[in-house]
Amino acid sequence: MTFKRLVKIAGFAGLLMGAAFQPLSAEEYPSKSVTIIVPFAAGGNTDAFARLVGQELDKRFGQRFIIENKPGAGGNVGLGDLSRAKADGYTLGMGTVSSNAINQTLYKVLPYDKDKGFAPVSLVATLPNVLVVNPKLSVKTVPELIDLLKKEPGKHTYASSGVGTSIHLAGELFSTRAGVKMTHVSYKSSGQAIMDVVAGHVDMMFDNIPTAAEQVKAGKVLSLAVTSAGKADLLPETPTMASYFPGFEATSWHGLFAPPGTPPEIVEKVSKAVGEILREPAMRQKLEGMGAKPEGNTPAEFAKFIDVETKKWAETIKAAGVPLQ
Amino acid sequence: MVGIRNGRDFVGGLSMMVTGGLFLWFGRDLEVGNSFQMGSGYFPRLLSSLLILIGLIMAAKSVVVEGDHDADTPFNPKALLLVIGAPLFFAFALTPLGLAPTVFLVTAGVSFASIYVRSVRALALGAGLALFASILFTRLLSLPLEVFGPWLSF
Amino acid sequence: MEFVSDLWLGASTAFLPMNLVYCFVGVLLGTAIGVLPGLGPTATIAMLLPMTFELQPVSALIMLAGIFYGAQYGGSTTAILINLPGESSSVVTAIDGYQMARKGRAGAALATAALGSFFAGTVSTLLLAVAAPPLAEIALSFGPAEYFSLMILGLVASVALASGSLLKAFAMIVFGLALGLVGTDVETGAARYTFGIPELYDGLNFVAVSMGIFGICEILRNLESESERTVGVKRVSGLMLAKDDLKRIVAPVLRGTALGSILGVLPGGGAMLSSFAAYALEKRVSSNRAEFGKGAIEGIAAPESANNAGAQTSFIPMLTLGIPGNPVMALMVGAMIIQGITPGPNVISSQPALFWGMIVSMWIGNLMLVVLNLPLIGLWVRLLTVPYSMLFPAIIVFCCIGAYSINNNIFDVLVMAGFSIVGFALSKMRFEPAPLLLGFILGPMLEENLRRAMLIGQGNPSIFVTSPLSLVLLLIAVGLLALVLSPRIRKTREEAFVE
Repeated sequence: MTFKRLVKIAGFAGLLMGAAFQPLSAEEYPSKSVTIIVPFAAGGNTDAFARLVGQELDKRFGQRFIIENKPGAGGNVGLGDLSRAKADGYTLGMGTVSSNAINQTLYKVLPYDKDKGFAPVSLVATLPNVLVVNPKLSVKTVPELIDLLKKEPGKHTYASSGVGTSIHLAGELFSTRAGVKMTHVSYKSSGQAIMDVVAGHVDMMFDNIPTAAEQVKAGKVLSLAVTSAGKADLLPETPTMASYFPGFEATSWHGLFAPPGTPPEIVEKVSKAVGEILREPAMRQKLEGMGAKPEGNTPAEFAKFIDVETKKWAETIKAAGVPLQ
Repeated sequence: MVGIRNGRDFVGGLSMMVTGGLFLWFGRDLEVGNSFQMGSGYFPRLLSSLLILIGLIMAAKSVVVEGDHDADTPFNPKALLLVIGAPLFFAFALTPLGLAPTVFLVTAGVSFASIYVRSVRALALGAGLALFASILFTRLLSLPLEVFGPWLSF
Repeated sequence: MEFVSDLWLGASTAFLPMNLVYCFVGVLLGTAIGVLPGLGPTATIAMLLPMTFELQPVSALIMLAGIFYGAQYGGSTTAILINLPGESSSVVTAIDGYQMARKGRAGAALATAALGSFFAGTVSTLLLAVAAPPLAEIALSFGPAEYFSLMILGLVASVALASGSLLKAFAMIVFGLALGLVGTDVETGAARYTFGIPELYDGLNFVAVSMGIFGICEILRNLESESERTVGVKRVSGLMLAKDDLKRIVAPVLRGTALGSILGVLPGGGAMLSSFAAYALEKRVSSNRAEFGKGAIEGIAAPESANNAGAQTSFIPMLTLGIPGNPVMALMVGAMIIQGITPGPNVISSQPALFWGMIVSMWIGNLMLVVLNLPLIGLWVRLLTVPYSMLFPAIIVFCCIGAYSINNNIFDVLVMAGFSIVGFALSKMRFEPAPLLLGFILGPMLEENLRRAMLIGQGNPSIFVTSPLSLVLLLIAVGLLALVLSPRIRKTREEAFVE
């Protein structure tokens, strides 16, 4: 690959001049291996996205992009490390809707400066949630569900993978928009939660689409609506929640970040590479197979997107009266 | 004053009461709720009270009932200090020094907790383990650790 | 004859030379890494997960499954040799296993674990093959109320883990339950006992606590009595099982296998309970009751069989319902999704080669495990003849690295150090650590399920007795409690009389 060779030559040239020049210039980046901090455990969605993109960045830049899992406190532990890392582009991190748009409101104290935040690099992928109900509830559409919930307020339950997760807040957003009351039942993982919905112990749940779609296909649960702006490929028959409540969007998104103060040229360079990677057909196919939508955007667009998301979830948290941690 | 017949259990009961008290104190701001609507403080309150109660019974019993008379092993402050200090040192040295020097220092240092230690053997063991751990964990298992940390790289 | 053709399909997948190699590599790596202190199945799989991304889906899963039970077996090895349970299920193995090792019978203990595990693995794999879908129904019938009652039963049974004072065992269980409170409250999201430390929001890590309270603390105790006993472990005698030993382990292995197979199906911590339950049951029914806690071979045979049977049947919810029952299964599901297969209720019909291939490979993996490990026993036992003054520094170093590797964070090393002090103090006061660890594991599940059941039941506690399953479990718990209390009371009376 000529591009790769070019980068290598650039890197070599940079090494030669290294003594005389500041080693921070964007042209020679990356001249050594780069660490991507994933603030969640290995094997999850965020980890998978980071590894898929990291592998391609490896090939593109001819340097190793090492994934470092640093789970804890809903992503706060890993992001705390990212914020303290040297802002030279050699430490990057993954962030999600919960770690970078919800935790800002949900946690009273964060292990990093909330105002300085991070340097957004690029949105990587979004996963829609889908509202699934146990067939025993005998509702087939969103209006039917709303009727039932209005008739018996507070009597019906919805499961989530924890207080303040996108799955929980999708439920809260729905309650607010539809003006209904449901009882929230929280679990430690979305696996446990969907299990109890399938078994009928809990009535419904907004679940991440890939696993939920399989339960829908097997007829274990009914899907009423997806929470992305457009319909989801895995469940083409299911209407969007936005068709009932205009503007309703509650997706689980995953993006790449750099420590605050990272040189914009380096951020730009990585962002461009990520964008190109996400446009490759093989990568798109892989992500779509996981039920995710490949994204990719500029740092400025990503920053604006995060801003909108942070405000939306702050309002939802306040409206729903979710206690702050 | 009545004599305590089982000193060990008396101390044991007392420490359980103190532990329960600490849990009670640090959980004082948690909302208790009621049995039907349990708050985040319901279980903490319940468990700390239970722990205090058990401690109380233990302490009371120790005054009345004679305990076993198995002798304690002699207290060894040097071993205690070294063995507890080793992980602490490891934790704080790992990032600045890197894996290899940390493992070497911890191994060689903690060896002196044993009365059978020989300096040469301790140093050799430290060097061997440092090499082994560096290869195993950074090369084969690719833990995100540096063999030599920033304080030692040039 | 559908079953035969299904098995044939599975065998033709699992016996592909490539898949046999991956199975072997998985078992080997799992065992090798699992014996390192602190690296249990979850950590081992997470570490090796990226290696499988390049493989075919079936090969990847076969290898991951191999790593899983290899690591589980490796964990029992450290529990027996150096009193270091690397995961919750080997806590009970450590109780009698380590005592046996100290008496020079480490070889027999390890052989019992290997043979018991193999037998249990064979039976439960067969069970998985013939009855996975109906067993999955059991998993679905357990809601929050049933889990709560099961946890109560588990707590009552855990009293049996202690060999000393009943009151002290209760104290340790409650202390363990209280330690389980640390972290974010699942139902309300409130932070409890976190003192503003982000690392504590997910609670104390089991492996770090267990290494401190068991492993490091044991080193301290050994060093204190070093002058009286030149080596930590007496010279080893007899690597293999005597005829008498074999006779003693048959019934416990059978009981353990049955208990583990059933409990393993339950995703909400059933597999975790199985080894505790098997130990408690054995202690009740065994004729060698007095030997428990002092190196009873039954105390290894039963929990190790239960543990391995549970490990196999814990695949049932994932393979038949597409729902991961524990963190290890969640990792497997993650691996499958990356491979482009989303597990769901249709996985048996849509991916028959994968499903049956995995089942057959599980059995092959278990066979490889026993073939691999029986000869290794000699090596492990020889490890104990290394002078203790050289062995303990190595254990400490590996514990530190193991604790670090849990979350790639030094915080867990500090937790381990802290709990070695706690464990040391407790041992000075003659408290036993096993009930504490069980309370620590059960506590969060107990509280969550109780509060969840109350939420779902709109605050009506009758849910615990109107569900027949829950009622039965509670009745057994009450009966067991009465059984536990009555002979003890009698015994103390007798003792008082003698005095």
